[in-house]
Amino acid sequence: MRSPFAYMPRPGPLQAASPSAAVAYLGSLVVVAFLYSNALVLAAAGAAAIVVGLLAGARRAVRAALWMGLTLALLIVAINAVVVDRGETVLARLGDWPLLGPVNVTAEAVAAGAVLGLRAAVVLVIFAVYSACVDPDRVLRALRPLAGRSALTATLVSRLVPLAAADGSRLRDAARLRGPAAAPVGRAPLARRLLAGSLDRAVDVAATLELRGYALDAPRRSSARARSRYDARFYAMGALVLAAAVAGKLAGADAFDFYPTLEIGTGPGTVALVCVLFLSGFAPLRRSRSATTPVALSEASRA
Amino acid sequence: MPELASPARLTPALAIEGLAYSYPHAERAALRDVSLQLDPGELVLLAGRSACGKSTLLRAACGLVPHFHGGEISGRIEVAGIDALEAGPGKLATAVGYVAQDPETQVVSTTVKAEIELPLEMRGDPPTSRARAVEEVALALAIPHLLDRTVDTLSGGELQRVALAAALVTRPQLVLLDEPTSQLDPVAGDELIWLLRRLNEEWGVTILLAEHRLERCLAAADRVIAMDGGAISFDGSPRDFLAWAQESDPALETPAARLFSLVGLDPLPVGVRDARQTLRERGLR
Repeated sequence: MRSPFAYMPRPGPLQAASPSAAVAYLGSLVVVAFLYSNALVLAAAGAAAIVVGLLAGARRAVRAALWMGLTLALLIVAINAVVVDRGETVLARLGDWPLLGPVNVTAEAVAAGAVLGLRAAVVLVIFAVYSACVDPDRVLRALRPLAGRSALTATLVSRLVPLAAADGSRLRDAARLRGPAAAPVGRAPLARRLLAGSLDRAVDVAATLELRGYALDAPRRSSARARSRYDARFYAMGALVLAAAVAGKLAGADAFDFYPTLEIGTGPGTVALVCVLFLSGFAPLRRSRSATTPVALSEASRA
Repeated sequence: MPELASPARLTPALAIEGLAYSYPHAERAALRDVSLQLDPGELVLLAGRSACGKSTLLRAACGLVPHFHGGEISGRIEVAGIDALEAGPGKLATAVGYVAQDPETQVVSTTVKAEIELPLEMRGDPPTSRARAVEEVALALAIPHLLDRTVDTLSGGELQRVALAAALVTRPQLVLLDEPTSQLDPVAGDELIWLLRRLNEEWGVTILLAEHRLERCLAAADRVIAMDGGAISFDGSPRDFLAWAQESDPALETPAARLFSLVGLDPLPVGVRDARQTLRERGLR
């Protein structure tokens, strides 16, 4: 079965846009996720990423990323609640633990863990949308002027996710085929094997890329195929999100304190930034399906 | 009046002299004093047990060794007149194609068409000539029906043909294949070998093919080079190779040759046709 994160050509503005435009927009959401700790802003960035993914037709990728993100977030919350004992609102006293000493679970530590988890989940969803909607072939070509001398870099950027997706599917099948009597294979060993295998194979693919002449100083033709009429929209949206994020940061829209007590900033700056972020998620919206589908289709097929 | 041979035809497709190589942090050398020459249009079979240096030799011939893998190297390698130790795999890509064992690690694009077109695009060929070259190589390898498919929907045999097409699309003078049939079923493996022979004859491309299942390839080869411990232990015709293997390295004998030698039949058969003829001559068939 095809991985939900594998790129699938679809007739949509995000798929038709050049990789740099798509990365500019999705990258701006990643910047927001790392720049802000305000849960409302993070949630808005996550919502924008989900809307983008759904409008771009990457429903399976979004769903899988949300599931993974939720699992990761819960893990982070649990770890943070146990290892951090700052905060005034004690929810539970868990007694003395080896190495950790007295463990008190505070509401503030749980909230701080939830924000960290939310950040991780948002970034996961954004990468899932990128992986499912941005053509790795076009990324490879777009990277050539930047990483012409490093096929490995280009391969890791453009092929690691598809390779890991294919390997993951095979490893899961192999684990299932071991039969009911075999010891179950944990997620962690599977993930370790997957990462090691994918990196190994990425190196082999990089060698192939070298042999295909990736590092050649061939004349690079500027082609219309690299550009799309949707590029301006995604560049503009990325710039708007970044500008709003920087302005919001300067205006104190990131107000969010965990310790000693939980305080969430909900000022006008924060609300405005949340609105901008959420609305930016509608960037891949097509004006009229019937009027634009043939163009979008042809752009996607050209891509 | 006889046609004058062009200088390119006179240049060996591959010339190696005194080549020695060790992988980084390796205790022993992977290649030791290897010298050989492949003339244009030859189909040469590279035989030997596992870890004897076959793959390393192929990697050296396409520039991956030492440029990609590192390590210490000495000697001289020239591919179609290009110094491989100076040029590196990128420059050599114009003269040499390489097909590895695992077809999946040789795919860098999402669709078959993009995969085959990539080397031409990297070379800067215009779109019209790229399209023509892709069509030609797809026809030669009987894969035009795959061109619009995504690579993750292909079988191992189809993927191997696509990898071969990507290696051949630039019409290199030399094609190196590292056990290309190891992941194919016997029928697909035989088909691939005879496809290579046909391309070798029709396109004049020199082929250096490393294989373990020699019974599959001997009949298609013009010459056999055997390796042992990183050095060349035999270089000659397929029939001489069988006689040599019987004496010096029985592990490399083909099953048919072993059977013939057991029952005292001579000469040892290079292929099925050969075996059939010997049996017929002896009145055994």
